[in-house]
Amino acid sequence: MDSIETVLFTFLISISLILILSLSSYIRFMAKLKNCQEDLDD
Amino acid sequence: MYKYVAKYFIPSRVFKFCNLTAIPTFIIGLIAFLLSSYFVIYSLPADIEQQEIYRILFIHVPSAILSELIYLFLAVNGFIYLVWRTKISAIFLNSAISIGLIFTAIVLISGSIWGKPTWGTYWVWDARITSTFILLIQYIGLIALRSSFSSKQTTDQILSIVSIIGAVNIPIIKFSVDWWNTLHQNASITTSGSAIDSEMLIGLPLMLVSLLFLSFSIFARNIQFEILTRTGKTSAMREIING
Repeated sequence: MDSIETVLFTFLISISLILILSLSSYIRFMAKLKNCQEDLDD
Repeated sequence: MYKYVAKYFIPSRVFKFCNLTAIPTFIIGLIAFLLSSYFVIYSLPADIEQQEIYRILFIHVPSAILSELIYLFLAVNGFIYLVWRTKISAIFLNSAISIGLIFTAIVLISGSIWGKPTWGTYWVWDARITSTFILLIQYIGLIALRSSFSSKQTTDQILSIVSIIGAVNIPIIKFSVDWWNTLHQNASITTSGSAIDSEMLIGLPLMLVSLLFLSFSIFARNIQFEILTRTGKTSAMREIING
């Protein structure tokens, strides 16, 4: 790989990891919030 | 002093604060990351020796700083939890572990990719790289411990103790390049000045700030999750959810 492509690839991997964690944290929180709201409604 | 500070860290207040800040910090962080990336990849000049590949260091160094700072944050919160039994410290500790793990993974991945054209190898067991790899294992260990006990209180106590003991690795990572002969170079930025050209240096704080914003948005969501997990089906839960 050309070195600028290697740099872009590294940045892409890094932001992908951060976005995956961000998305999984958001999904986990929303699922928990939904459960709690259902519990309170019962 | 402690009581004065503690009254601002009531879980319901923290939950509300996180609700307000999680999305704005994510948007600011993502925009700042994209702009900083464009700046360091396309605007800064190439290095005279490393050519283009040195640009990887603009993601590698801020990630390294964050991976170590987050671990210190865990240890401080662990200490506060063990001494004062504050619930919010345990929540902060639990919420930061996965973020530290991701940044440590980024440090090792970006370092390996940079190492191949620069050192001629993806990996070498030198003191800096090995101690950072141990940090990665420490984070994985904390995540494994988090789901190993049925009682939240026991989990928080164990995590606090392990975090405090594990913090001994942070000065080892920091000073490993001074204490041992390593392939990894010494610190480029010291109290006596910087070995990096001032034109290039500006990229590091820009990237660090963008990663801090992104980290905070993840941290905020994790805190909210932890607060909900620890609040029973009571009026407190109703208060937290409905604000």
